[in-house]
Amino acid sequence: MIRFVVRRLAGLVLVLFAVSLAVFALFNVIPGGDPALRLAGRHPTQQNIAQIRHDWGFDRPLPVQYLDMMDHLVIRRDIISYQDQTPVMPTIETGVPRTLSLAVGAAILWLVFGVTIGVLSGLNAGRWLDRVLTVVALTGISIPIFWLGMVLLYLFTYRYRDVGVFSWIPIGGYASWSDPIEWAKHLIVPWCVLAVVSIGFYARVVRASLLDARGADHVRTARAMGLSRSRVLFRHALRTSLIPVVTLFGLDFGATVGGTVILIEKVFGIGGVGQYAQESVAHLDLPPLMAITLYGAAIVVVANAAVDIAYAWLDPRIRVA
Amino acid sequence: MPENVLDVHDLDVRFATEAGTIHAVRDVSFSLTRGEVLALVGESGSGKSATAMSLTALNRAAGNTRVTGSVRLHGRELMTLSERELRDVRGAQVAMVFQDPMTSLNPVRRVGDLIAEVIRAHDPVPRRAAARRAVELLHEVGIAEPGRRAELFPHQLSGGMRQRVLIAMALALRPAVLVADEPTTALDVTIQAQILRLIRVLRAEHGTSVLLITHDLGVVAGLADRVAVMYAGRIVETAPTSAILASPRHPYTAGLLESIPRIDHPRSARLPSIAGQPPTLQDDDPGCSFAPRCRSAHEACARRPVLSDGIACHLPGGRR
Repeated sequence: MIRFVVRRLAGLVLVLFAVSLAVFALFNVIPGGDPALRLAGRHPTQQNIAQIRHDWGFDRPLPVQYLDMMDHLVIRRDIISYQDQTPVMPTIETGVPRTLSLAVGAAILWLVFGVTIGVLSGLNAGRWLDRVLTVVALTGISIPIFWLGMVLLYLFTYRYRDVGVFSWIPIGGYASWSDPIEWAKHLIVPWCVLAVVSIGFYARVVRASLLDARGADHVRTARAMGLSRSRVLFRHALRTSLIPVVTLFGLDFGATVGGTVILIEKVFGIGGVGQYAQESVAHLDLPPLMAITLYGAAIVVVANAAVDIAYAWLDPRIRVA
Repeated sequence: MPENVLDVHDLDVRFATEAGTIHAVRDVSFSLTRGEVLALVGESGSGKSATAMSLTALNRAAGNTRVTGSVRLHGRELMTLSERELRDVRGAQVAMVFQDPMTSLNPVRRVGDLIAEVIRAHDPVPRRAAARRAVELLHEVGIAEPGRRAELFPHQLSGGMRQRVLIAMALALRPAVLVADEPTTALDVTIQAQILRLIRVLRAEHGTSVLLITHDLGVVAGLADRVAVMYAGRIVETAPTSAILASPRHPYTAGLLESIPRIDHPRSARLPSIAGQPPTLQDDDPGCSFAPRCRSAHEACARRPVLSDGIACHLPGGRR
């Protein structure tokens, strides 16, 4: 187990190095990327631009620029945005808890509901409950989430804001974790919106996997030995059918943090890292992009390691001897 | 005459499939006395496994299966029991060992736990006592270092070992009847012999009656007291093992025995086989199901022969 963790950490460093190199290289080959031109304002002279190039160090060789940037990013942690010349790290540090609150909360929701709906569907396969849940799941999968987000926002906070049940839902934004009730109030709608697609998807996967497992030889053995229905279901059929869910989750959580979360942050004005990333891309602002991709990659790698550990617990066949 | 442990009477199994109803088991009757080994022999699709699954209504949950007839264990009718009542019978009084030990054990649980779970499902002993009992059972089925092996997962054991684990599970509660559905098919020959010897020893020690389901006549010769040959869902011949092997009366049984490769025959000789295919089990023809493939079929075979005196054939022994 210790060897496993050490290998993971070494892998993490490698991944982060590769990611930073890729982002840096990519930025330096795309057209319109030259920050000196934009820093110089609307009618710059050649001299102006040269001055800015020199001051910001853009005239030095790329490897030196890269090392300098990494130094400011990782060691001194005082890297400055090209766009508005504000420090990057404080903005990210306010954003990370927001983004993680959103992503982790949604992940818990979609796991709990996805698995529950999938199990109910699988147990009642072919009966009306299964059909209803299948329609619900497919609807969830098919809804574009930014649309759903805006519609819910409109309904809850504008159209029906006088209806008692919705009146406590804030219009958006974020409240700190230090007040858990306010925090949850601000996040409940974004959580649901973000989880909807995955709930539908996980329900389908769990249903299929459970149906497979129920016909499996070892489940037949458990039944033939007279174990109770709940034991056969939970200790035998369900445990093996959750293995693909864990695999999926490892991939999805990364994809959510790196993708869908951005939409939701934007729609609900949460001000997380995703929103910051989106703005930085729009402005071709390299320093925050570097910082965000590194943070993001680190979170994804750590999440994947956690998934691998969960995987090893669920399925002893893949435990490293 | 010893009292029968298990009495099966007119067992009938139909599956509803998209291609129509499959009539898998047709009016099957047999009984088992204490300590007796009855072999149910037949080719794939002859209804052997469907018969076995029906004994404790394991196919009831499938929803598309209809089972009628009577299964009595020590005189108690099982067919009318509720699922809950059946759970007390399954594993405790009628236990099963299945064909494929590679897939029949839960891959994510330790084998000792699997055995202890079965014990505790029927007998409310403390966890530690059940775990100890599991180790004893592993020892009993011939697993060396049972204490260490109980801690292993199924994938860490060989096929023969896993089959022993399944047998240990099946015997944990000293069932009156052990149903062994092709217990040696997935194993190599030396392991097969060990597993058969184990079943023989356990039968002798505990007086367990065994319903042995197989298509392997070598296994039959080594283990069974009596044989029932199934064809197209029906029992076509039943007799003591020695009698049936020496002088089969039903042409199908004779064909089966002829198609066993023999070490004393020239290797170049073509292995005899029974011509044709077994009938599909959808339609119920009024005559003898085997007639289309039978060398000695004649007009009388257009009527279905009934099983009497251990044989269902109009011309026992056939026309040679």
